[in-house]
Amino acid sequence: MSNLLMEIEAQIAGARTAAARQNVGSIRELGDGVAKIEGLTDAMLNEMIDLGDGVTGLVLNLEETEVGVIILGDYTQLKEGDEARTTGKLLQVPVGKSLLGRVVNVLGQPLDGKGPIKSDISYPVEKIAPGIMRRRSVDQPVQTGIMAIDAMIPIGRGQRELIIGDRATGKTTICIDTIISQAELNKAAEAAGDSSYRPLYCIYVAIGQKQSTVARVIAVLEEAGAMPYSIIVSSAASDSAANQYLVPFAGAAMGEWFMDNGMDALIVYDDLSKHAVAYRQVSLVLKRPSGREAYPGDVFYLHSRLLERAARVGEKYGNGSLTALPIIETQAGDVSAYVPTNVISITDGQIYLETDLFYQGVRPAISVGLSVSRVGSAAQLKAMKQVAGQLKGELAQFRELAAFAQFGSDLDAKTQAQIDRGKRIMEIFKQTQYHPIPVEVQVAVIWAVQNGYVDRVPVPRVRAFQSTFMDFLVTRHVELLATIKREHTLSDALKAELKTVADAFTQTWT
Amino acid sequence: MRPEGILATFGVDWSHLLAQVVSFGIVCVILYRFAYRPVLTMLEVRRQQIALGLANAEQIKAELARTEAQRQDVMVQANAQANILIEEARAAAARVREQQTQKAIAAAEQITINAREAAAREHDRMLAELKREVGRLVVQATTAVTGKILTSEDQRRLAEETARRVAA
Amino acid sequence: MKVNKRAKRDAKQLFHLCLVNRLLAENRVRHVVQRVVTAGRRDGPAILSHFRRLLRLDRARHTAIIESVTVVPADVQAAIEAGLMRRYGPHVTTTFAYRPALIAGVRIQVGSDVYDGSVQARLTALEKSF
Repeated sequence: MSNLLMEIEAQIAGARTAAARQNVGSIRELGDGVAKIEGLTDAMLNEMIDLGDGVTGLVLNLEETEVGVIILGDYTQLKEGDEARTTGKLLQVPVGKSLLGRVVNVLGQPLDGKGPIKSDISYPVEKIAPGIMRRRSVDQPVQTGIMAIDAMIPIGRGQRELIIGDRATGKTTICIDTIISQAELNKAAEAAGDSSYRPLYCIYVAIGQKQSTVARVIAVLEEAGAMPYSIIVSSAASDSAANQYLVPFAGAAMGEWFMDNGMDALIVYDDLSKHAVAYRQVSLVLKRPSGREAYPGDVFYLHSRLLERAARVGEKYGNGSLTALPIIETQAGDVSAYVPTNVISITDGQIYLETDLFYQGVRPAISVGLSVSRVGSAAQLKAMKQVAGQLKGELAQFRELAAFAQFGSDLDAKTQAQIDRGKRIMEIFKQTQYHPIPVEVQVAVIWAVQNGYVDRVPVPRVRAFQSTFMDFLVTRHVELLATIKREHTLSDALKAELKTVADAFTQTWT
Repeated sequence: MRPEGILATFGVDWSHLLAQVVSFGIVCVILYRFAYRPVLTMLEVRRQQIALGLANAEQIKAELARTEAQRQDVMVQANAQANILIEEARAAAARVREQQTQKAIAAAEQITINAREAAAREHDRMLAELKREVGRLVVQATTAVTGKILTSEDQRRLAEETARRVAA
Repeated sequence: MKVNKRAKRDAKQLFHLCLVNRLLAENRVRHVVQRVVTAGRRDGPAILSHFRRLLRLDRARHTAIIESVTVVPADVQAAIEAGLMRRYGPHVTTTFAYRPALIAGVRIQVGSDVYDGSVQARLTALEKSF
């Protein structure tokens, strides 16, 4: 109690000094979440403006006689003629480890009712991306737990990999699987006391999503025990366009704190199409000139400055990394639209999800032919490279030959073998959502496929074979998996051991 | 009696007897060729088959004995493997039980920690609210009172202070 | 009134014509207004409304409103005026007003700049800090 009184007295004492010179203006026009304020002669671009009653605004337009301010907060209480004051500060968000496990909004205010965020460090929302000399090349893998991605389109720490597809093709699911996989790896490393493993923290930025969708994502992450390693930054569809426009930058600022402090982070932007739409709305209300598809002229710069902030920095400059997984929703599979082509040219590769594959039952519906990772096998475990190196080529050949198979013509033995192998590989890559597979199990399964253990299994039973085989490995051959994980490469001894294990399993499997 | 008389009594006539012998001979020959030989061949064949069957039966019995021995072997092996499997399953079950216990303990700890944190948060919230209310009262009181107690000297001092700030 | 870009541009040009040594010349202003009215152009009212706005803003920039509760002593007044003149140039007109809500102290506003030394401002800041 006396503590409380001392705090109050200190605060009263602090109010003795009068404020220095302030800069004020009055609201001349107000509408659609944007206020035109007359005065504010000292306002800077992107400065925070105090509009009274705890409502903040952000300066976006500096005109001759007035200032265009977007309002972050409840603008229904403001009226024409209200006084606005500059704060001299750029928009900042609290950052740090105290944000892990929390759900926050664009200003860093908590939305989950678990109390205020205790953080003494704030990072500016808009920041210039690391320069060329500060960066380092990407060679550490991000194990997404999805076999199709880890084998053929590997992602590295510090890479930007776009996930692009139509609605309801499983884009968010891939990101949630990655987050769950990272949480499991983090927990395993903590339990084993492995200090050489760098944990990967995840940030999920929900831009303009339905609140029910965000609630479902949070429920899934909580059930999987991934929340202690994740931050959720949400600006739902009912938030103003200004909030939706700023929320990815706020998430990037939180990720940059991890990058600058020797830790690795992964950020998911779900999704950037809605982000571009929100920015278009803000720009049109600010009467900025519009271009193609009514997007403002700098919509490329909007996404490029956001995605360039994801990088791997050198040891002297923070020794961390920020991996970005932006999501773009296409309409009717049109990847040549304006915003998708922009983002494809910015990122280091894309994962392309097709509705046809989804409805054929191939889930995740990854189109291996159109997906690419420009970092590639530099960010892949050596063991995985050894077993999965030829998979992409084999699948490409299978796709070409599959057309012949449909006609039912008589094929020679070699072609038939390729088609059979291709069908089985496609079956192996199907995976249930929210069940990531550890990389050592993936290596063992793909090794088994490449060495013909699945060739005698009829195609409809391949998945049952695979799941039983994975159970077999995980429950009865834990040491083999641990050795693969430790050594990172398949030596001849390991291959021989794998052979014995696979033989033993195939004999008993009916 | 005389031999000729015996023969005449029994009706034996040399020409008839000869004819009968000849006919009997023809009948014999015909029977032998068309009846006895096939029958005898057939009997011979059957005899051979029976002999073969008996030999086979011997073999089958031996085979059966061998298979029985093999079956016993396999049963023994299967038993041994089953035992190994049971042991492994037991070990796996023990591991899983250990994991589940740990998980349950962790969950229980988490619940206590959550409850404690919730109580601490509630406490902090109340203190913050209290601070706010006290602050508001202080400001209210000051607003009501200050105007009346400030002298013209104080007013002058405040005005000078602002003048200095403008000039600075 | 919706003022289009051309009217704004014209009004801005007229405004600059009224400036002599970067100060507004009243006779020129009257002359300009009369000419626009008599010219009878379609966008005359629009030009004039923007012109008036520019005048208003210019006037606000060169006017210092000093609000206080009691009459400010003469020497303090002189000090304030001297300070304002040094900061904003010699052509600032000072107006004194009475505002009892300030409780005590002086609030000076020049255009968008505010120097608030009043007790009310400090109390509001204190309340906000809680």
